[in-house]
Amino acid sequence: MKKKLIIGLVIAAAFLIGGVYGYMQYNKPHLDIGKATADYNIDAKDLLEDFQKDEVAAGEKYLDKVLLVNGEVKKISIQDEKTSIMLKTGDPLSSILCELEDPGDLEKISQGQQIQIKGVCSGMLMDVVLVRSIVVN
Amino acid sequence: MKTIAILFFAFFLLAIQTDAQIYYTRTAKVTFFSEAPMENIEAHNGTANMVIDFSKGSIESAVLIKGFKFEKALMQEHFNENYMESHKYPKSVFVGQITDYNGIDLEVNGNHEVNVKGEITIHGVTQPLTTPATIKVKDGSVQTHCKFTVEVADFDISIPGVVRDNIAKEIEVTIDANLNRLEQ
Repeated sequence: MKKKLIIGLVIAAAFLIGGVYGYMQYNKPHLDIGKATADYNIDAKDLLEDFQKDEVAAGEKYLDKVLLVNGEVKKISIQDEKTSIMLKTGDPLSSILCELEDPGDLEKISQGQQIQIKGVCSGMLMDVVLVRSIVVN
Repeated sequence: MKTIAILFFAFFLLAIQTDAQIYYTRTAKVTFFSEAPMENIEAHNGTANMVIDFSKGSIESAVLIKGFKFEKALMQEHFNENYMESHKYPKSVFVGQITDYNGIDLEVNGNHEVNVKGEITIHGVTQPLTTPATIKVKDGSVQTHCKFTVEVADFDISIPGVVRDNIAKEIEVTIDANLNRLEQ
């Protein structure tokens, strides 16, 4: 009798833990870029060069990684609620395109300014793209 | 000699005209929406490219799969790792042509309802796609809007039985872009 009760309790506990774990997984938060430590600290020019040299190798190295990129603001683009910054790379056709997490960051910067920006690398089209970016300096 | 010079000049003008017909953006918005009994899933990407050559009516657009943002981190993870395999297929690309294209006057403000026919590549699989689209010319810039549906099964994306009720078989894709003239 006691044995059955214990087995019952263990099974109930397992379900409860499983349920809580599942629920937490389902609701687990996105990576907090502000607090995350950068995997790489790199200049805008070098980041673009890495992708231009070998896109596959650069992808393996940088994709989904938190990058801290240093560069000069080339252009600020605002489209509806989406705000992005382009960093100069020395190549007139390609830049580092950073989609801002918080448009409020725009108050900190202006065109031509040297900044440090942290974001997650999602790959390269015309530009190397960082998403969820935050202006650090 | 004079005729040749005039002809040359005319060709030169024509060449400038043709060049000026290219409009592009690097910050087009792509949204997709899956409506299913269990939950609705929505994802946004604001860093898509779009290039339209109005001299020919051709359109190209590309988007990075890893740039899609979901409400829940877990959905984003599953989307990238299990369904889209974005490490293997990092981009989706559309290449198309406005059908029955007779040119659009970019000097005159106005809305143009067009059909675009082309090919879309998702998850490494290329399929034909035809969609209505709106092209709005306003003060020298161009806004485009289009909405179409894609069938998950057409692109070799397998969704396990357990979550089949959570994900729609048809995904609605919306693309909005503000394009500017490419300065040569």
